[in-house]
Amino acid sequence: MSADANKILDKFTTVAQNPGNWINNWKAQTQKKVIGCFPMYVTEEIIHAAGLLPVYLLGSDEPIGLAANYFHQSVCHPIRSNLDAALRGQLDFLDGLIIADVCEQVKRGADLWLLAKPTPFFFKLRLPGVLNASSHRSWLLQELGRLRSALEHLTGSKISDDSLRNSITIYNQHRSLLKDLYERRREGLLSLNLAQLEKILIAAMFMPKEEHVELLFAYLKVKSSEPVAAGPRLLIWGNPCENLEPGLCEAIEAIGGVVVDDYIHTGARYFSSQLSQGADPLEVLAATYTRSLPCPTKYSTEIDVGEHLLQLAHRSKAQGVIISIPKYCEIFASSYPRLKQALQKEGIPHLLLESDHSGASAQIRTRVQAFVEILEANGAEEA
Amino acid sequence: MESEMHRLTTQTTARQLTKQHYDDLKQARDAGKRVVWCTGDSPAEICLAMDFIWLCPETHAILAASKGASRELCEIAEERGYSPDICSWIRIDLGSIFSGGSKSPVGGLPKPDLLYTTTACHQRTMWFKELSALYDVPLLVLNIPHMGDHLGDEETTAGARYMVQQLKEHITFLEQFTGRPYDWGRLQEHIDLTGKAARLFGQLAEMGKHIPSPITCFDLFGHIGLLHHYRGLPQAADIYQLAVAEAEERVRRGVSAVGEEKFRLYWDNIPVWFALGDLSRKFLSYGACLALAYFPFSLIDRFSVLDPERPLESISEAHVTWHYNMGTSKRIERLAKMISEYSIDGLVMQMSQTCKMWNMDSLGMANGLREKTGLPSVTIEGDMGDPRLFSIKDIYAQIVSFMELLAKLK
Repeated sequence: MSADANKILDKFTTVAQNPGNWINNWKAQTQKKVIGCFPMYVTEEIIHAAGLLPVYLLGSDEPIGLAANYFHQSVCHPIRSNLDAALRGQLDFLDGLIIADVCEQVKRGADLWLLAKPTPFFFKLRLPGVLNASSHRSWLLQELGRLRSALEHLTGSKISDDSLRNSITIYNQHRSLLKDLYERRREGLLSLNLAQLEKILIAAMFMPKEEHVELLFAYLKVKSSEPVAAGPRLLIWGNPCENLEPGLCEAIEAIGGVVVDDYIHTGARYFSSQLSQGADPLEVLAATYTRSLPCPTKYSTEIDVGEHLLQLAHRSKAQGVIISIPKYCEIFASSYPRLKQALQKEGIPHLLLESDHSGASAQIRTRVQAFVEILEANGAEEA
Repeated sequence: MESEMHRLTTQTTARQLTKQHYDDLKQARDAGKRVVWCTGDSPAEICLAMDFIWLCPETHAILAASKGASRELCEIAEERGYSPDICSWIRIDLGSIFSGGSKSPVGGLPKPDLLYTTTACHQRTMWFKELSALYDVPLLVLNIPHMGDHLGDEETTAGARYMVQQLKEHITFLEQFTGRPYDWGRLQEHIDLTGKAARLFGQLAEMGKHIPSPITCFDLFGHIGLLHHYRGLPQAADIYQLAVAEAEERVRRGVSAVGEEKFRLYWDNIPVWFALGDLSRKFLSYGACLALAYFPFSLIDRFSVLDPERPLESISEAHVTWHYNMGTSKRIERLAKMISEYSIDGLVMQMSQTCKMWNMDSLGMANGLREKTGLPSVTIEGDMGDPRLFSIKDIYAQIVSFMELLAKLK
């Protein structure tokens, strides 16, 4: 990798490895407010248009301590670890919290979270779990209007349609750059390992979009083509609300697996929507969301998560798929049988891993090793 | 046995009617009636009005658990890749389907023509998505906006309006599906019958306020199935009327459900269906009456307010304002008030590991209720359908310690 590209990557890594630290410095310099978003599908553009910095909360990998007094063990890790981080004071940089009620756990856990750790500003964005009907789009439009009013009240300033359109443009530009990055990796034109890629995405979740766009643009300009590692091509799917299991990227790549694509929270899930522009920017946001989202938390007659996974696998020419489902995430766990059926129908091998953020254990490493070796053997046979 | 001597006699009739319900389902299917599978909270009356027969797979799961069939059914589903973290009722139902009904206590359920769920519980939405794919039939989903602790009247009204809009879309669908105009008159009749039954069930539950109580929550658990199996039909109200009369007679005669009533307890959460007998006998041995449980009110609250003059509006308002559509603080507030009204001495806080809807904030609820009421509590960890998550030996030990504590405090 070129020295310039390395320097940019180091900047992403600095943010990703200690986002709290980075944000505290940023706040001290800019005197601006920060709104925590959890766990996914929060419409950041509105927050950005309000002059606030939206950041996605990713919890931590420290053992759960204080949060165990509020949430029992069978609650998912993202919720427990984020509350734990909040109770330890690690999220004190937040001036507010917006939660999208994408599942039972976050919908019901939010109020208890607030009891345990009050926040100056709180908003629950009630997204429809069902798509494709006009009532749901109208509802979402109302909710987005309610969010806009709440943020205007927080800042004391109106959020104009023009500023919303501007935010949508910036976010779209960001999405396009990330898509470009991903496409180049898939095509073997850009060598970046999964851990490095995840750092770029995590940094995106904490930095102002304009800054991240600038760095990303510069990175893509200076990043030279390098030989991409040869090895079985893998797609990773899952981990919807936090980063990958610590150590998993390294475990895969140490054994020669090459993750060429993903559909995870700190990955392609973050930028896969592209918003169109329209006369009413809130309508644009509502319309984009209520188009078919390939997510187990949503119900739509137009898209099936199994078919979507196959599309991703074919596009990336993946030889194998790793499905990483968080422990105690019943929604994603429910979708596994159909994902399995879809992959088996196409003869695409897969490995199911359970993620609890205790680190890639010896068992996980062994299973990953066995899986990659099988793919290597399959590849040799086909050759 | 002593525990059965104090049960309401109408429970025998309720059990017979449960069996009748499953027999009727098979006959209805054979007679060519359209079948809709609904979650227990879905507005089944909307479909009943268009001549659907409805069934609730959750009550089938409860039946399987109470008959000792749930473990095997869960295992069948797990072998197909459904995680043990998923709601046990879902695994029971899917296990029954995958076994072709052979492992179900009633030989399985008739295939649906239509499915109907709400988003009150996202796991159920996912369950019904699976069913829609398995049976290749349409799915109607009623999205219920969650109110939590921080929203007020304006948002409640807006939420109810949204739900009415969705119900109208569902009615349009039913007209297209059946090829005939919607029967609003029938809807009013069914809504009226459900409302009456729920109000009577509410009267029965309120008998628990009497000291001594003529009923325990185990009586209520034994009668709750009627409000599912005979929703919108006259049988539920008929039996509840008899049960209320029996309970009132006991009050007049001073008959206690537990012999000498020494303690009055609150049961939180979903019943442990496969251990009700064991638990009721254990509490009975201490003269402890479980005089109040929220679970029956989950139906009473939503259905007793149904108004045939405003069917869609009253359905929507009931759901938006329902107890479990509120947040932790509001629910603690409400439960504390009920606990005071029922003169409760202690709290039995059951936690069902695989039910996120009822257990997501159960630790917070238990802490909050203890603080608000000043009452001692015991936490029982288990599940509402998977017996592998429940150790009766451990639970007995907890109950013994709890009852000893209550005795010391008396």
